[in-house]
Formats: sequence, structure tokens, C-alpha cells
Amino acid sequence: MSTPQLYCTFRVADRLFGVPIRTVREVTTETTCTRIPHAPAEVAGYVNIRGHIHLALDLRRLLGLPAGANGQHRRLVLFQAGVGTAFGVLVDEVGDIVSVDETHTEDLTPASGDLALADRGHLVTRLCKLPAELLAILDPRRFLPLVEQALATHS
Amino acid sequence: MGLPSTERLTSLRVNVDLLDRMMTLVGELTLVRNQSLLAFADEEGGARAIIQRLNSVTSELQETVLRTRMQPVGNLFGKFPRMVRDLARQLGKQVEIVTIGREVELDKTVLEQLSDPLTHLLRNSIDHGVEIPEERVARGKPAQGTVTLSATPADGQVLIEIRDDGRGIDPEAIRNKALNLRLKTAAELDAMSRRELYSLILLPGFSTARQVTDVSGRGVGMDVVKTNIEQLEGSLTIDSTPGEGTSMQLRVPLTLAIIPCLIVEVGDDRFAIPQRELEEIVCLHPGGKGTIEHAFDAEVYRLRDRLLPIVRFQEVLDRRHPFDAAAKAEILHRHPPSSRDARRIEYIVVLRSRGRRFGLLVDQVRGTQEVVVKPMHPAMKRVGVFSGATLMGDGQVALIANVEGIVDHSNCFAGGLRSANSETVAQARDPREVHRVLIFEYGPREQFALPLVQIRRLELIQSSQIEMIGDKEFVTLDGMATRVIRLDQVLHASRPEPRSQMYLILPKFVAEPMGILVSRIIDTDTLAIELQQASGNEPGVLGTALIRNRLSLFLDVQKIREAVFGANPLLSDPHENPSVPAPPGRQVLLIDDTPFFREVVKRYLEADGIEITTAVDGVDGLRKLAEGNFDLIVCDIEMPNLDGWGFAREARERGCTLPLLALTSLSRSEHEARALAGGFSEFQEKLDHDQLLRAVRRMLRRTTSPTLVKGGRP
Repeated sequence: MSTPQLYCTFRVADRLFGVPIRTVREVTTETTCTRIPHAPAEVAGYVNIRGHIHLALDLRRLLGLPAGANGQHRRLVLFQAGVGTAFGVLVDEVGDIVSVDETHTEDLTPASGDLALADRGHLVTRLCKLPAELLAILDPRRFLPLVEQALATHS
Repeated sequence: MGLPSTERLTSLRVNVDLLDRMMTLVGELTLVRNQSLLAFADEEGGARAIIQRLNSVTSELQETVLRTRMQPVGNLFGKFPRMVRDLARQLGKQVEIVTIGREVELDKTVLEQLSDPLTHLLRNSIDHGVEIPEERVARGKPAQGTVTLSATPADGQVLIEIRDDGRGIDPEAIRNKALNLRLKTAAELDAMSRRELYSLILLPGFSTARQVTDVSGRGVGMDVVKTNIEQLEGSLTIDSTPGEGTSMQLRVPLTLAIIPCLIVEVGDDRFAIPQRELEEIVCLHPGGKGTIEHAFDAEVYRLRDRLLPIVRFQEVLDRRHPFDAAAKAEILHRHPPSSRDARRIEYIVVLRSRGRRFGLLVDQVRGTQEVVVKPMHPAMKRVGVFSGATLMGDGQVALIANVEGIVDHSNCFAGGLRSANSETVAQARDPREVHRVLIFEYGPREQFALPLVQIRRLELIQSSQIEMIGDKEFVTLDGMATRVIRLDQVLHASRPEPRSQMYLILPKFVAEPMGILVSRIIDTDTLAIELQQASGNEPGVLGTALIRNRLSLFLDVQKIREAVFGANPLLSDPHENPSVPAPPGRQVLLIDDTPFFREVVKRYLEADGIEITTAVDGVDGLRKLAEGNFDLIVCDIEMPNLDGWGFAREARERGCTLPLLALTSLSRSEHEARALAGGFSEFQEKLDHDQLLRAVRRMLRRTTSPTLVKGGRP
């Protein structure tokens, strides 16, 4: 019997996603972004979090999901420094912290190591069968490299 | 004993982390100050006085904290003598290092980041610069070489110079290397000043050392050094005298963290532009007299009679890719000179980069502010038009513009304004040797070229705009039906794939409204043209030349026009009757130093049944004049050796009474009077086929009048 893992969950385009709770530094309501011209579409812009500038990524774009209106529940999920330098992702709504038993998850192996070719599916590392719905578990370490790659290929 | 007591009391060791923390806090305090200034801007009385006080205290505190971080460059210079000694020994050289200005102070961060670039430059000097003792003695220099490392405060910056008395850098070697690497064309290299030539060394992959050595890396270093220094907001220039030595000059700011910026707005976005690059701001009032004008492939503004290239910040922000010729054409198309919104005020922020000025067009100027610079996020480093970000008084993030990055992105110095805008280039370039040429494609197989002097305008059109009238195609431009010319219908050229957008080249000196259809603009370039005769003498093609390793066809616009519209009826002049060609067998002496123009004019006249003798300058012209028997002299004004003015004076003094037609690309009004006073009979613009032919016919006809032949001119 393995130990249950804690996940911070959130919704993007009505789908449930989660990241390991230890990767998250904080969730904030500050979502006012200064757009960065020439940055790839996945980049929402710079956000000021208590005097420190963070890069906000648009998780919707990152996952290749259809664009939607920015609701009042929009939040910025900021990650720990070990995940990547000063950045976070914008989500539609933050959900509960869920505890998931390893036995209820299934591994998804990325089809290809080439970020440019993958259809963003590789951001999802595992699928977890919650009683009500499926929870897609993301690896936030893969977010920034994807953006850098996008910037490198179009410039 | 030991130190005097006062010394002991006034010095204190402080942990660097503590200083760094202080720096961050002062940065935040500056932000609070800015916020307060904003919040109480309209306030009168008490609050205002307090805010003023807060403002001045904060500024002073900021300055003081910055001072605590200042360190003498001697701390850094101190480590070099040993390195130089070791390196010299290793290379079998004798080198002495002299350091000057060790007491000059720099911010700790700047100093730290200078260490690697300086080490690299010093290694370079010793490895590539200083010769081995035998070679030095043979050249009459002392066996021991000297490398001088100096620091001098200069204008809010510090100038650090590394000077050696070694072999120097051979400009010829750089030239050849640049040619071999195909970085520049021969014409471009000819046009470069020595300093510009040396700056090529700083390009990636450029190394002039014949052999790669271990010491200064593999010749890939200089561009990295340059990048490092630019990250410090500094600059690097190289100067050298072959045989005598090389000087590498580094300019770095005293401090990094807080810089004064101009805050501007473009659309809904706000940007900070470092004031270091700012020269002035021009306000474009509606109805004011200054406007933005089109100069072939660029927008310009007349700033005190000098042309300032204009870069629209909005277009820079909207376009992710550096501007190419097609993008520039699109921008021009989008902003016709008359399109300015009469109610809107715009601002031109005049900036200087790499010694040249340009104007950045913005919607609003919000004043100046001291901003705390935060670097770009590591994942966003590739976005070259910004150098960092900062927090504004309202808590929002604003991006800091990278002026040099904007220059690179917009390519604003690459256009035809280059020589007009830059003092140094204008001197170095011999305008007669080179032409600005538009390079383009119609069908996929051929590359075409046309000198810009023959082009009135370039127009982006939708293929759907082309209308058929009978079997002819037209596009309506400026309310005029403009005949569309497809090159495959007038000469042997391939047909393009159908596409939705195409370009129309509207040529100059053509009476009928016509445009040559083009599928792709490749570039504009400054080239020395050596025209080869087209094989089989294809009508419509002046000749061919190699441009960027591709055979390119130079179009003969007049022949193309004739092929489409027939011989020109407009040549007839209502006052005289010169629609009839000049009597056959007339001899004309044509003097022009530019092979391209000479060829073009010669063809124009030969097509009219005139026999042409050519001369390459005034001196050659006088020689040919003495040898031959002519009816008319057609003479360029700007020429080497003996120019048109000199030729006219000399010819008249020698008693020549022939009619003399001045030919020039100079503007008419300025020179016409002078030409007529200087002995010329008439004045014509070089490539204006119709006017030129009309004048020649008229003048040749007059020479049949015996009085003029005998009497001559006063």
C-alpha cells in the first residue's frame, strides 16, 4: 500500500487538472498581466506579486484548449523556485486539494521527447480516476521549456 | 600602533548579503515614493510638502546606498598582473602590464560582471596583439610589449581601455575575412569607416587570427564578450593602427539597478525607454507643419533639415519577426503620408544608437521616472526589443525598451537613409560607385533588379484589385487606372504562382501610369553594379549582374514601356517640332563616370539614331573632345578627377562652342542656375528618358543653324 499524494486541483475549460502540492508556492487573485509583445501566445505576461515580477503563463493555451472568457474566479497558481524561475499559470478556478492513492492513477508516457511535435498531451503525466471525474495530473516543470521552445522556433 | 585611530573608527566590514538586501529595500522604497507622488499629485498644502520631503529623502538614501556598493576597479585590476605574467611566459613573450585609474569606482555588480570580459580581452591582446620578442626587435620596438589597462570616469559612465603596442589589426585581413564569410559585399565594405570595419570582429564566428590557439579560446569569444558587456548596458569598440597596436574600449555604467527612463504609451501599453539613449522629443501636433514623409522604403521626418528615419513602435510590437523589405513595404502601405488622424497628437522620441539617430513614434509621453530595473524572465531573454521590466507607481509592470534591439528589429538604419543619416558613412562612401537597388522576383526562375532612383513608389496590392479591361489589366491607384505589366508578357520570364498579394513597382520618368507586377520583394541593397550585356540582347533587359550569387536582370523600363504603349507620342513638343528624331549620323560626346548611368543614357540616345562616344570623367572628356568631331556634349556634373563644372569651364576656355547639356541626379532648382552660368546650355535629369531625348533632339536641331555654330556662346 503506497502513501497517498496530495494534489492542488484547478479547472481550465471545464476540465479538472492537478499539480503535486509540493510544487505550488501560492495561489493568488492577482491576475493583472502586462502583455509581452513578441512572446509566444502561451505567455499571458508579467504580473507583480508584492514587488516581485513573475511570468504568468496561460494554461489554456499551454494545453491547446479552446479560448474562453476570463471569469471572476480566475487565479494565478505560482510555483516553487525548484520548478522554474518566478512563474505561474492562469487557471479558470481553483478546486480542492485532493489526496490520491497511487493505485488509482495511471501513467501516461510521453510519445516523443520533441516538445515542438508533441500535441501538448505530454504535459499530462498521469490520469487519476476520482469518483466523480478524471483528474489529469500535470508536470509544471515542462511548462517553461515549452514556452522557450516556442519562442526559439518562431524567432 | 598600526592604523591611525580615525581610520579604525570610520571603516566597517559589512556583509555583502546585507548590502544586497538594502539595495532591494531601497528599490521598493523608490516604488512607494513613486506611488505616493502619483497619489498626491493633485494635493495642495500639508500632504504635498510631506511627499516632497519623502521624495528628496528617498533620492538621497538611494544615492547613499548605491555608494556603499561602489568599489574601486583596482580590486578587479589587481588580479590581472599575475595572469598576464603567466600567459606571457607560456607564449614565450615579454609583456608588462600597466594599470591606470585603479581608484575609479564602479558598482559591485558591474565590477563582478566585468571580470570575464576583461580577462578575455587581455588574453586576446597578449595572444594576438603583442608579438614575440624577436619580431618586436626586428620592427624596432622594445622586446618587451606593454599592455595598458586604464579606467577613466566619463559622462556618468566609466571608460575602460585595454591598449597594447603589438602588431595591430590589419583592416585588409578583416575585409577579406568578411568577404570570405559573405558577411558583407565589397561595396558595403568600401563604404565602411575603419571603426565600422573593426566592429565586424565582434560578430559571431569572426576571428582574424590565422591559427586557432588555446589561449584566447577558439575565436568565438569576441561576440560573447560583446554580449556580456551589452547586458551590462555597456558598449565595446575597437580601434587599431597596424604595426603600432590595438585599443579596445569598454564603456560601462557606474551602477545598474536604478536608471532614469522616459515613460511612453503605445495603444494600451506602457513602456520605459532608458534616458541614456534619449536625445529629444518631437511633438507632432495636428495641423503642425512637421509631418512624416515617405522616402522610398522608409518613413522619415525632417528634423532641422536632417532626415530622421521613423520607426513606429506599434509596428515593432505587432511584428514578431525582424522587418524585411516586404514588411517595410507593408508598413508604408498602411500609413500613407496623408492618413494621419488630424485630431491626434503623436510623439517622436528621438533616440541615438550606435552613433545614429532615429525617431520612435509613440502615442503618448508620460514624463520621466527613475525605475528599478528587473531583468527579463530567463524564458523571455530571446525577446530582443526589451531589456527588462519595472514596476510602475500604480503597481503595474512596464517593459523597458532595448533601443538597440529595436534598431535591429526594425532595420531602420539599413535603408536608403543610411548615408543621409550618418556623417561618417557619407564621407567614406563614393556615391558614384554604388547604387541602391531593389531586388525582386516575378516568376520563380529569375531575379530582377532596378535602381531605386528609377522607382517612384512601391505599392502592395491584392490580386483581386486587378481588373481586366479588354485584354489589358489595370489597378486603380490614387484614382488613376494604372496599367499592370506582367514581365512574362514583355520579355522571356517565368510566370509566378498565383498569389493573393503582390507588389507593383511604379517607375519614375514614365508618362503613362504603369506598374510592374512583382511577386516577391527580396531586399534592397547598396551595390556596385557591373552590368554585363544580356546575351541575345533581350529587349526590356539592360543587362545582367551578379547579386548575392544570383544572376539578376536589370530591367530597361523605357523599353518595357515602349513594348506596352508603343513609341512615345508625348515626345512631341508643341512649341517646336522635335517629334521627328534628330537628323541621322549626329555625333554626341557622353561624359559620365558611372558605368551604369553611362550605359543607360547611351542606350536611350542610340535608340534615336545618334552616334555616341563615351568618356569616363572630365579629363577623359577633354581628350575625346580634342580628338573627335561632335555636334553635342552631354556631361554629368558629379565626377572624379574633373567634374562637370570644371569640364565646362575648361572646354569653353579652349574655345569650344558646342551646345553643352548638363546631366545630373542632383535636385534641379539648386543647380540649374549655376549650370547655365557655368557654361552649360541646358540642364536635364539623368534618367528622365523623355525629357532627355527631347532636349537632345532640340539641341541637335539648333546646331544646324549656322549662326550658332560659328558664333558660339558668350
